[in-house]
Amino acid sequence: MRLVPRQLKRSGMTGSVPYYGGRLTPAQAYAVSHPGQPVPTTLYAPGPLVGLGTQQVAAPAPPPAPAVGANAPAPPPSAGVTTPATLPPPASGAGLAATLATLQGLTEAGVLTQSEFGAIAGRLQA
Amino acid sequence: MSLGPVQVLVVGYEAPTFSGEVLDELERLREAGIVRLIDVLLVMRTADGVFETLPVPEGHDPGMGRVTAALLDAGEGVADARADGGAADDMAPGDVRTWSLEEAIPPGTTAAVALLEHVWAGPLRAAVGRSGGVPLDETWLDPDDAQRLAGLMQG
Repeated sequence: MRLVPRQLKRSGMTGSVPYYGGRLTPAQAYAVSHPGQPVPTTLYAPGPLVGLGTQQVAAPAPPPAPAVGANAPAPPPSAGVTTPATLPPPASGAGLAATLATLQGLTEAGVLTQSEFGAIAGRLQA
Repeated sequence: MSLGPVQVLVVGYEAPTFSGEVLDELERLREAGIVRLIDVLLVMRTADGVFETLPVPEGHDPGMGRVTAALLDAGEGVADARADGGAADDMAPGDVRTWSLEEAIPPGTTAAVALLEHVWAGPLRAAVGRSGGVPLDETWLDPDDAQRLAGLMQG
């Protein structure tokens, strides 16, 4: 008999273990394997990112990023990328600024969603 | 009907020969009330990626694999939709934590797909829930790390 594999939800022995820590979402994995290309919106997770204390919102597909890395300058705002409203103003300090620039670069490349960027940046500046 | 945590164990074989030794061990675990083998399906993935179920070996329940196939098979309609570039199956877009046999079994491989109920873990899971615990992560230790753990336990 021919069998067409069905996509099933993953779960752990003690329940549904959330994405957290170093795991990559499909959107992140796509962005890593397709540098410079926009990430399809269908790859973004609809639910909250558990553990970060944030409410994830539907993120738009980011535009192609010309450069990614710690030294990549933050590009000007565009139609596909908006600054999170909850992001507090950057604190002083070269290390923090460099980290935020790196996070911004990862967001531009689609590795992080805007909500993930906002959550991480908020924790850095808390 | 309430089940304990059910694990899907996919084991690949170079040739479709099954000695029964694994089934014997699972039977021992079932008798001990530790693990219950719900069902096992034998499946072959052809070189061009098509999945075909294999007949039940002699001496085993003729219905073996039926439940697993029903659980894991999306149906011919999904195959047609995929060929037409449609949705993969009935999962909503954006459901990120998914898996299927396509990821587990490479083309040209024969595999046994076992559904194992961890009977022992049912009360533990219930206790975690009652205590308000939220699962954050769980995994298996890599054999190297398990070996290191064994050394730590001895020291």
